[in-house]
Amino acid sequence: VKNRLRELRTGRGLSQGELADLMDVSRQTINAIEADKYDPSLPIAYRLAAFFDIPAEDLFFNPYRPGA
Amino acid sequence: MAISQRQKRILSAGAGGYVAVLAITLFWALVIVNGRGHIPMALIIALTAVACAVALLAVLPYWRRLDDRQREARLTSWYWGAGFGAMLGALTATVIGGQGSAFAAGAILVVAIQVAGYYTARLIIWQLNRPRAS
Repeated sequence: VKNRLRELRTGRGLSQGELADLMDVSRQTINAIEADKYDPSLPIAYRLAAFFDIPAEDLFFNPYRPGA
Repeated sequence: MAISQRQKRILSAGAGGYVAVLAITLFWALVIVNGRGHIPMALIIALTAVACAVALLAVLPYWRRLDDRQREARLTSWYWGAGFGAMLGALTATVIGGQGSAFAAGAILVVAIQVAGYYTARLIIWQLNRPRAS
């Protein structure tokens, strides 16, 4: 799923590794999500959205929503 | 490249699980070798199943420390890679040992038990995830 993770992460001045440590996932997982190579589970998506204090759909774009 | 605290926890749990599985396997191999003829075969098989379950429990801390993507990568690799390897191993053993040989029978037995274990796990997961009718 396309997302704004890279933009939000760099906006906070965090490296992939730092964000991974904060989210308790691997750096490769953050890299794969940013590169749209891996769709995270709902708990990880919500954890990331909560960390950036935005709704999950503002972080991960819903391709099924009409007009998306 | 620096190793994160999370990676250290995974590595230590993985190493612990590996050593534990190795110890259980070696101990159990000694029990089987020395107990053959003295201990009933059914009891050996039952206790072997218990030893395997203990070995799986020893790996659980490692598994629990992995994130979703890491688990998915391992499950997919195991399904396709190990599935292919098991089939190749059974066929190779049959070709090398000849049909009906103990070598081929052993290899086929391992694959058969692996497949049985797979379907048992699928059945358990299906039961656990089965939604109640509403």
